[in-house]
Amino acid sequence: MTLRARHVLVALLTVMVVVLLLVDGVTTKTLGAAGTDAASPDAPLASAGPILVSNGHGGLESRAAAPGKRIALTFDDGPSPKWTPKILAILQREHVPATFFEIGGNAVRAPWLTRRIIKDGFELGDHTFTHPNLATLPNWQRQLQIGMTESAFSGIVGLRTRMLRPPYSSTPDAITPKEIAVWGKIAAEGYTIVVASYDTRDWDLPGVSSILAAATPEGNQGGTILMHDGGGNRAETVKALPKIIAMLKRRDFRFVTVSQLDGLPRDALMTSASPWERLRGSLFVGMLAVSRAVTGVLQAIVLAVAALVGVRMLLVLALASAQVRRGRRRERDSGFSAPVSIVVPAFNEAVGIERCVRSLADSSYPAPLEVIVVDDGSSDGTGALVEALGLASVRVLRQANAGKPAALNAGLAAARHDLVVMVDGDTVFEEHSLLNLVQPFAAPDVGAVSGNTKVGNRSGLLGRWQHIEYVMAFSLDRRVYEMLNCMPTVPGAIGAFRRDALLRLGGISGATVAEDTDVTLAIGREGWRVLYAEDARAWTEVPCTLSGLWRQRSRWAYGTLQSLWKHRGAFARRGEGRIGRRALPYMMIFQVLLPLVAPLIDLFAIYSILFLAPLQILAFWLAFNAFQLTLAWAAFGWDGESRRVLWWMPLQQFVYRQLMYLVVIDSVIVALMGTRVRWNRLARTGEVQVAQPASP
Amino acid sequence: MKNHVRSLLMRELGEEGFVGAAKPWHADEQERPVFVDDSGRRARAVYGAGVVMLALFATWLGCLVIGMFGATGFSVPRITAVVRTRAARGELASAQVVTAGSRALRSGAIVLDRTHAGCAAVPRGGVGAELLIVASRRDGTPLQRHASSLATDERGALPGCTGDARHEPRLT
Repeated sequence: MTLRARHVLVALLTVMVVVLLLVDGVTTKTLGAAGTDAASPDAPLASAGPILVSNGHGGLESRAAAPGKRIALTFDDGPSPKWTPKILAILQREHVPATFFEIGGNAVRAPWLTRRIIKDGFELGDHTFTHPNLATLPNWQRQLQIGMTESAFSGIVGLRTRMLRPPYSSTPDAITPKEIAVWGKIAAEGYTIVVASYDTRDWDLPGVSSILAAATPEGNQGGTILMHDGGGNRAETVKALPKIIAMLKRRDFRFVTVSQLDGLPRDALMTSASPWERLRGSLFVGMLAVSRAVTGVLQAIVLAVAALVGVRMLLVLALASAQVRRGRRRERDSGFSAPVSIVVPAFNEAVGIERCVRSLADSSYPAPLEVIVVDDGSSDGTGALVEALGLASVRVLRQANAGKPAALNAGLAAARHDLVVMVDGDTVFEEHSLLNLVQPFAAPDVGAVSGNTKVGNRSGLLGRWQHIEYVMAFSLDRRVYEMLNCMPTVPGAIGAFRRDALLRLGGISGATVAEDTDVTLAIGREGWRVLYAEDARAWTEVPCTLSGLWRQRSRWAYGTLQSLWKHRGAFARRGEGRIGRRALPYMMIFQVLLPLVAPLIDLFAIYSILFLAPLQILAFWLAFNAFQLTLAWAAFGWDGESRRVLWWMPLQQFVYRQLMYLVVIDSVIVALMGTRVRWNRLARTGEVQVAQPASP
Repeated sequence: MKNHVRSLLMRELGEEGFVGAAKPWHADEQERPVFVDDSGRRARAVYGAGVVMLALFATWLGCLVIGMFGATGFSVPRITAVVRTRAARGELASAQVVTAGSRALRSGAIVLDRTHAGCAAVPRGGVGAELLIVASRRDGTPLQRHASSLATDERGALPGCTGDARHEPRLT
């Protein structure tokens, strides 16, 4: 039950999803180079018929009799749920036999059509599994392409076919020496290579009349006519087919299957699969159905998430704008001030405690102010350092190390005033932050106020990314929460509370490692309003290493999960809907569920780039980033921050975002396992720069 | 320490001050860290679920691999079965024993020899008929398989075609 075992489990689960996607992708995507070679009268098989077999020397030869006035209609690239039934209906109506050269990948997607083709008496040929150009593939891939299709047919209809039409084949005069060599090897395995006498090129959508013209035999020369029932829009084929049949009937051509054209009984070319082959084929088709189902579920998740994220972005933009307009209308400085107790829990904060305490003591605040530094068993002389400052308004309480909640409770118990501001020991206040923070308490129903935490060490890449994240989280999310009246977190770095509200809760709980979220949710449940004071800025130090960031975010994510679980009762409780039915679902969806499925979305994006539509994915990604950038642009403007750092935002989508969701995944597993998580204190550098915000 | 804080708070508010003391989020001595399970039972359940998922995945992958490989070409038993079936139906013009591993066979030519193990079959289908050849050792174990074609005029040259399965080698 070690940390490593948990991570191995996650890695293995990721590998599982990757393999499932790869299997679906590889069995869907057309591989190898495409393209049909041009016809040439000098081609080695220019005078050959459409049915080719091994010549015993690694090449091909045509031994079938002249077809006379016999025509075999052949359809490639199906089955297609959209077009194949229409073509089958026409053929049945006209009582015309045909041979379908199916792509194995399509057959396993629509097995009912393959069954219907056989049941209705048509013939089945192999058109490989994913329609690659066989001449460009190594031998093992050729074997796999044909073998997988055979296996699929065995599983679906219990038959194996010896008729093979190589993808991108056309008429015999277009067969190159290289193709002869490759197809000759396949023919030596017992396959009959079936090409076209007349290639309608209907895949190119040349128009019904062109298809009809291409299908018109020269004189009385019969053979095979090549058309398509899958692989794209086949509307022209469906329209042309009755005309082709009518034209051929008028000219007294007789319709036959490929085996009849070859002078062989049907089961010479379509043999019964053995029980083992059927079982193996059924397993193959069934397992592919599983990977297809997984891909389908992923696709649905991606669509749902895309819709959800889109709605959220619009909602955030609208509500945050409204909050900004409301904030501008309301009087910023209500002139309210009341005595304030500031509690600073400190454990080994010697690096930054002096700046913190001085910034608090030097606050421009008109009412009485006391600063209580609770030294939570520091071993670096934090308490002594504060005492040595000799600041009149600053007191130091000492306790044996008992954790942040206990330190806060000690400070709370010692606080003399009705408003309590809680500040982290590495945080630096601006001169007016305190005054701005307490203004909303002019309203008697306000129980807590969130300040605006700013990143004080933005020099490195991680610092910049976290800066962007903090600005968006405070300038957007907290405005939205305020508008929805469901603030979930008053940050530990800068938050103000009514002492009464805290005492009625029994103080700060130690049941979670995110005591700020826990207490904010609890205050909200008690019916207090919790507001956001954007101009109450506090500068804090953020982790500057990936491991530090991982530890910090792990605690946040795990603490958020704990708080969600702890307060789940609010969901159904009357009078607590603001928290229970707004904050909790919002947090659950956007802070837990979305990060949980985010890796699947990333994997699906890679899958789509590799196997589906890379341009669409790229367009979607660019649109997503453009909208994110719009949100960030607004957030930075409202917060008076320079927007230059936003150049780094697209890069945030790599590494940083993945780290964030891995943290959540890990935390969910830890929560499920019941592992005990403790506070991981970050190593402080004291490099907190208080920047002057640009004019908003 | 916690008791000390609590006593301070109690002194401040009095017992009646804790109006919500029965509510679950209150910081009292009864409160346990959320999610924590020191017995390790839940951890074992999570790992168990992971192992089950991995086992299911391995099964899926195994079935997939079994299904997707090895279906190319026509195996010796398959051709034999086809020959046997078609001989029984009377669809074959001939079924013939051929010499296994003969030089002519390896080079693609066809040598027929009823005294050795092996089987050849020509359908009764007339023009352009194909010939399937299965070669095996004298003791009947598979040695080599080959598929080729015969010209129409070779059909009649195949002697002694009986189509009788008893004359065919036992190929497994």
